Amino acid sequence: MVFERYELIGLVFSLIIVVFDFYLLKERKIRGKAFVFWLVAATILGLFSVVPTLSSMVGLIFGTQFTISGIVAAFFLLFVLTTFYFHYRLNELQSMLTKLAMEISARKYTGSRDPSDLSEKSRESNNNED
Amino acid sequence: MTHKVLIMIPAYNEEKTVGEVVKSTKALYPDFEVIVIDDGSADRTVENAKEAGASVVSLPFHCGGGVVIQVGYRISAMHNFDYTVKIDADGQHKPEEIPKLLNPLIQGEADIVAGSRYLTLSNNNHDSFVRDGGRVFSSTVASSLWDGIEVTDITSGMRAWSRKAIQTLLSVYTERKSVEDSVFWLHETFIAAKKNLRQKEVPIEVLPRSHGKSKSFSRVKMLLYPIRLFTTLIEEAFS
Repeated sequence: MVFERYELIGLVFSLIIVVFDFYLLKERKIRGKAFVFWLVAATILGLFSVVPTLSSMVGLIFGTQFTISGIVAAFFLLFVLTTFYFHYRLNELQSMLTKLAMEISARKYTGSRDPSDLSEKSRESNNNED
Repeated sequence: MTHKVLIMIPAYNEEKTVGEVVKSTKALYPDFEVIVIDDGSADRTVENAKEAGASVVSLPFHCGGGVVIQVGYRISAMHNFDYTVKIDADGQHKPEEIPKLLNPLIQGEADIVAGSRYLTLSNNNHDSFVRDGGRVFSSTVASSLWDGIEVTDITSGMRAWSRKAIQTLLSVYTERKSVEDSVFWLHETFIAAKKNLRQKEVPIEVLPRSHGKSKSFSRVKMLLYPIRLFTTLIEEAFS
């Protein structure tokens, strides 16, 4: 199977996204939902690269029949990669913010009846009974 | 011997039901600590829970179900509770069934006990075909593919944990950089199996919702659940 140059670029590009997607998932730097989104996006990108007739079909459906130049394709791929990067950064910041919110909320609880006190009292009463 | 038990009730916009859930729980278990963990509700959930006599902890903004549970874990660990129980604020879980979950923990038979609606033949437990199908499919796949997991209702929200289980799970969640919330129980089931925590299911009755719609499991989410099951398997297999 021989690929055209543009097909190969698209395919390599989608593979890069898939590899980074799995790496970020392994390192737990991306949420499962975001992982699925980018896996699907990379698969679609790969499909469009390998099957150029798909692009023609989209063109026919939406009536946007024009030849995509190398520059447009390069900018599109750059745009996809930038979006992927910012999505990952947003995920990271969201996780940090959520962890902070969790910690603050948990520390706000002082206990309506502190169980540590309860256990101390129970132990004291048990000792007295003994 | 008196056990220190925490009953956590996560709530998000449950003003119509949370008060009744708190009242009935406190009436049945006056010695247990009942905490409502509010996930940034925009209605009168907090006020109604307080009026019913619960301690309330509020998150500053809506964070999702998994985050709320982890707040409960932190509170449980910080205040040295022996056992922690979770029931829903929508009134679907029966507080009188809490001992069913606590007994296996107290007797040392398990570290985590989950209620399963599929272990009884009650008509109340019937949900929509898509949701029932999604739950059964995910539970079967998880049980078949992973050693140490035998579940029938992997998304069950009525659960109980021993102190050991809380500490183990909390240490795992603290290490992790991302906070997963939409498939929280799925992750937790795998983590518990990997950490050799003994998991057990007991039959419970799940009542139909009296108000509003389920926020956790819409039909679309249940349809996507098998995909999330796949990614969770990958995540947990990697780590």
